[in-house]
Amino acid sequence: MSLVLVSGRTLGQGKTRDKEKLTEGYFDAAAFVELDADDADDLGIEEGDVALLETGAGEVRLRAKTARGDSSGVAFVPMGPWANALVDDGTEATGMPEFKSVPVKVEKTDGSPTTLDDLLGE
Amino acid sequence: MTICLVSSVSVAGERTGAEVVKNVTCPYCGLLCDDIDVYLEDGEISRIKRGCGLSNAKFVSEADRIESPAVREGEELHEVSYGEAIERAAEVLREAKRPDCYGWSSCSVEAQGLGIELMKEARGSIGSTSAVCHLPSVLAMQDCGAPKATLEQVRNRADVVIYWGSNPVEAHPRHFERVTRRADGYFVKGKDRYIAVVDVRETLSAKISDEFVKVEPGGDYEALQAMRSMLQGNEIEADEVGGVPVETLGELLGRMKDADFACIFWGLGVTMSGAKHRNVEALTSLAKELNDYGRCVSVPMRGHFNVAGFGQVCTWKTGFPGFVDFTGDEINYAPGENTSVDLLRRGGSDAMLLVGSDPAAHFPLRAVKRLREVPVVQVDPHPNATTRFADVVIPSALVGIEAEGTAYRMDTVPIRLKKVVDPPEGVRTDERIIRDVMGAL
Amino acid sequence: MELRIRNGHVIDPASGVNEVKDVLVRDGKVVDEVSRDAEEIDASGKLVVPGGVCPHSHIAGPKSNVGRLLRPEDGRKGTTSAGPGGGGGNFPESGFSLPNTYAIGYRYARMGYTTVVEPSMAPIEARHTHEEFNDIPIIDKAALPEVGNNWLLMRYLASGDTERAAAYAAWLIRATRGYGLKIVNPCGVEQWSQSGGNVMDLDQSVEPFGCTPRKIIEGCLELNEALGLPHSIHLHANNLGVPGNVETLLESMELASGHENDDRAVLHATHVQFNSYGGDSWGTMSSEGLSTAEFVNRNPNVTIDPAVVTFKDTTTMTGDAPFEYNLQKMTKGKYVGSDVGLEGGGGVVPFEYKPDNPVATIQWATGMEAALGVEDPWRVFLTTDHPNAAPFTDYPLIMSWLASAEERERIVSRVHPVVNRATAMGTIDREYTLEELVVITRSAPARAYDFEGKGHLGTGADADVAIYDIDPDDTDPSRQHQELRQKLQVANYTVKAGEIVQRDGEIKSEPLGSTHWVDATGAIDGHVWEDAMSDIGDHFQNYAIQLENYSVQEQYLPTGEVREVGV
Repeated sequence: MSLVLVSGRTLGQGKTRDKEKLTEGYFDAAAFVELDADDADDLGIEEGDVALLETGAGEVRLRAKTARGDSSGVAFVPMGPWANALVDDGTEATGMPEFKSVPVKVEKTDGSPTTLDDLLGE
Repeated sequence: MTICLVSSVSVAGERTGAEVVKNVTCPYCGLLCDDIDVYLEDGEISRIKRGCGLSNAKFVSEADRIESPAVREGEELHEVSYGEAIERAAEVLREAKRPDCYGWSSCSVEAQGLGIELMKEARGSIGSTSAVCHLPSVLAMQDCGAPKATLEQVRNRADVVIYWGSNPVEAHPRHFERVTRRADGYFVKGKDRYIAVVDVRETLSAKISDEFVKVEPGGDYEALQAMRSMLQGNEIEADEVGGVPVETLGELLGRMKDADFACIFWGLGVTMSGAKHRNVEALTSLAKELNDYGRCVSVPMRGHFNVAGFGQVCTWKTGFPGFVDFTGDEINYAPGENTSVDLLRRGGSDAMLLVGSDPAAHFPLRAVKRLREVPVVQVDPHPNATTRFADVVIPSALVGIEAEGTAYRMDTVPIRLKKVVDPPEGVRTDERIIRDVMGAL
Repeated sequence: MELRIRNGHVIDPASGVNEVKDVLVRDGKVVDEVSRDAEEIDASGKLVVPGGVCPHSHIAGPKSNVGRLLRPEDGRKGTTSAGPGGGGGNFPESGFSLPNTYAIGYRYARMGYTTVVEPSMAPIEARHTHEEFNDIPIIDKAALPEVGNNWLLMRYLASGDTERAAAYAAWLIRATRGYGLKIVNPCGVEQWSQSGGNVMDLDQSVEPFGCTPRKIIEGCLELNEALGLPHSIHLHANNLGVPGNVETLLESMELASGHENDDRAVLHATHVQFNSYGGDSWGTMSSEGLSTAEFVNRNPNVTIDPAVVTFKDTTTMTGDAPFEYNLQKMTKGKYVGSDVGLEGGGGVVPFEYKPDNPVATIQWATGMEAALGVEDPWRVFLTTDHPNAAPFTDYPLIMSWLASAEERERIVSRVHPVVNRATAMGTIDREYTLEELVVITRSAPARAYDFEGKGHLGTGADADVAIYDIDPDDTDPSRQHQELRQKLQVANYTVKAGEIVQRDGEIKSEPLGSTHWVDATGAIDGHVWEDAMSDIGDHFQNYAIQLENYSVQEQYLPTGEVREVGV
C-alpha cells in the first residue's frame, strides 16, 4: 500500500533531542511509524508489528503504532535518522529536502527493526 | 537577575534549604518562555516551576555530556586539551578550500555573530539549521513579505487563530497557555477565541482545538490559493481542493474575514511539504489580503530557541539571512546552493564546522554519507549521532543554563538568556571556543 | 595620542569660527595645545569642520533588519570587497538603501559623519537595536523609543496624569537605553491594530483608552520639559503621506506654543516633506513645503528636518503601520507589516521615486522647499529620513542642490512638469553658503540633541573632525556644485575621538563608538515613582515577556554613555 511519509516533531523526540541522543530513550522516541488505524487494518499491521517502509531514497524497518486521530493516508515517522533514511538529499535548489509528503510503500515484515548502527555504521 | 533564598522548599517531601532563580528564559523552543523559576540545591538544578515537559527535560534531566575535547585518530576519538582541539579545528578550516559551517540554532546571538566573523576569515560559507526548517519562510518573505506581529499583539487581540501545519502541543507546548487558548488578553479572553488546526493528521493540537481541517499531504498550496481566490469573490468549481471540501475552506475563510483580529501560525507542515516556499507565500499573502476586511497577521512557529536569532544577526552583519559565502571578494548569498545539504550533495564543501547541531540525525541519510567523507569539527554540549564520526569534538556549555546571551523569540523579540549554574569544570562557552578558533586561524 | 590638524580653513559656527587655524587634539578631545610629537595632518587649502551629526536615520533595529531580509536585491546592489585596498574595512559591505551594519559605519565615516540617531525604536525590541549598534563601527549612536501608541502612556495622558506619565516615560527611556521620546502617528497605529483604520485629526479618540493625538502631543510636550530631557519631543505627525496633510502638521506644531526651553526647541517635526502636502487628492496634490518653513520662521520653539527625495529605488520603513499598508496597496509589491503589541507597529515597503512621476516630483519639491524656506539654518537639519526618501549616502548630493539654484533649475526642467504648477521650486533662489551647510549637518542637530561634545570644535569638544578637499576661499558652491558633491562624498580625513578612522575613502581604523542614552528617573518624586511602578506591574500582565526581563541589560552597552538629568 502506498502512503505519504510525513516526518515531524513529537514530545518524546523533543524531550530526548538535546540530551539523550545516543540512548534507548531517544531510539524509542524516534524509531517508529504511526499509521492511521484503518490504514493499518488494510495493511494487516498491528501495533507492535514491524513494518518495512520503502521510498526512492531508501528503506527502514520500524515498529508500528496506530494513530489516535484521523491520520488516513499518512505514515508518520518522528524526525530523526530513521525518517531521514527515507528522504532524498535533493532540494531542487530550495535548500530544503522533502521531509514531508514523500510517497512511501509500507508493508508488514518479519525482519527486526533497523538500528542506528544499521544506518550509520558502528 | 533575581535570586531569592527560599527558607524551605518542599521537594519530594523533604525540607531543604534551596535557592530559586526567577524568570529564567527557557532555552528550548522558539516560544522562549521567560517565566521559569529554577530551583537550585548545592549548585545544581533540582526542579523548575512553570516549565513544560520539554523545558523540564532540558533543565532537570540527567544528560550525557561530551566530557573532554577529543580528536579522532584512526577509528578512535582521543581526549586532548582544549588548546589541541582548537588548533586542530583551525587546521581543518585552514586546509579546506571551501569550509562550510552549519548549526547555530541552539547558540546565543553573540556566538552566532562570532561564527559569521570566523567564516569570513576562513573564506567559507555559513548557514543555520533553518535550512531544514523555516528557510522556505525566508524565501517567501523575500518574494512577497508578510504581515508580522509580536505574540503580545496576538494574545491581546486575536479572536480567530489558525495553526496551519504546526502542532504546538508537541513542539511548543505552552503556546496555547501563553498566547492563545488559555491566555486572557486585554480585548479577548482565551476561551472566546476560535482556534482551528489545519494539518495532514489529527494531532494532539487538533484534538483540543475548535476545529480540525484535514488537508492532504502536499495540498496546502492549492487550499490556500483557493481561499485567496474565494476572498476575491470567485467561486471554486470543485468539491474539494487539496483534499479539503470547498465548503470547509469557505467557512474557515469566512471566520477569518469576520474576525476582528485573526492570526495564522504556520509550521513545518507548510515549509517542508509540496510547494514549500510557495506554500508560505500563499499563506502570508492570504493573511495580508484579509486586512482589507479586518486585521490579520501571520507568525512562523520557529523550532529551536534561537534559530530566529541566527537569521537576525546574519542579516545585519552581511545583509542576508544565512547561506552566504565569503569565498570571493564580495558576500555571496545563495540559498539552495550554499545550503549544507546541497553543498554536500555536489561535493561543494571540503570540511564542516558544526556548532550545536546534529546533521547525522537531521539530514537525509544520503547527505550524512557524504558528510562522513569530509573532515568534521563538532562543537556541542552533548554527544549525538554526528559525534560518531566527527574528527574534532569540542564540548561547550549550555547557553541559557550555564552561560548567558541573547535569543530571538519566534516573533523576533530578543530576550536575555540567563546563566543559572556553572558549566562542568573547565567547559567553555561557544563564544569562547569560536573566539579561540579564530585566534588559532 | 596627539594630533595637529594644521592650517586648515576651520568652519565651526557654534564657536563663531570661520578662519584658517590649527585644530589640536589630545586623548580624544579638542585641546589648546599639543606637544611637538603630535601627529600632523596638513590641512592647508582644505575645509575643517566638526564631524557630521545625523539627527534621524533608520540604521538599526527590527525595521532596518526586516528591510534587509525583505530585499536581497538591495543587498546585492551594494556588495563591495573587504580588506585593505578594497576601500573597505575589515568586513565586506552590502546594501544600497539597506546597508549591512558595517557599511553603515564605513559609509557615514567616508562622508565625514561621526554621530547618528536612530529615531524609531520599538521598546520591546530595544535590545535588537542595541545589538545592531554594537556591530556598527566608528560612529556614535543614540536611539529614541516610540511612545505615541503606548497603552499605558495613552491611559495616563487621556486622564491628564502627566506626573505618572513622566515617571513611566523616564522608566521607559531608561529601560530601552533610549535618548528621548519619539511619537509616531499618535493613536493612529493603535487604531490600525484594532480595526485596520487610522486617526484623521488631532481630536479623534481611540477607545477604550479615550486618548487623542492632541492629548499625546500636549502631554509629551509637558512631560518632556518636566523631565528636562536633552532633546525635544520628536514628532512624526498624523496623516503622513497623504494630500492635504499640511493642515495636520501645522496644527500639531502649533501645540508647541506656550512651551519653552532656553537651549533648544521644544518640538521637532521630523521628515516634514512627507507631511507638507496640499490639495485633497493625488490629482490636486501640491507642495506646501514653504508653508511649513514659514511656520518655523514664525515659531522659534520648533525645528524640522526635511527628508529630501533624490529619485532613487529605495525602501520606506516607519512605525506608521497604516501608512505602509496603504502604500503597498499602491505599489502592489513586497510588504512587511509589523504589529508590536501594546506599543505600536510599523512596516516596510520598497519604493522608487521616479522623476517623471508627478507625485514623486512634488515630494522632491516639498522637501527642498522646506529646507530652503527656513531662514535660520539652526532650525532645520539635513535628512533623507534614511532610507525613506533616499539613502543617507545622498546627503552630499542634496547639499549641492541646496547650494546651487542653477543646478535646481536644471532639475526642474527635467522632472515632471507638475513641478511648475504644484510647487514653488521655480521661484526660490536662495543658496546655502558653506557655513550654513555646516550648520544644518553638524552644529544645529548637535544642539538639538544637546550632544555637548558634538557639532563644534571648541576646547573640550569631542575630537570628531572631518577634513574635505574644499578651499572655502576658492570655491563657489553655486557654480561648483558637482565638485562640491564629490568632495563631500568622500572626506580626505575623518577623525573620530582623536583617531584617524578614514582617509580618502579607505577605512583606517574601526573603533566602536559610544551609545548615548539618558536616565531621567532622578527627576521623579518617590511617591509618583512608586505609583507608576505599580501601574507598570499591572500593565505587564498583558505582555508575553516578564517585566524583569524587559529592560535592556548593561551587557548590551559595552560603550554606553549615560546622561543623567533631573538629579
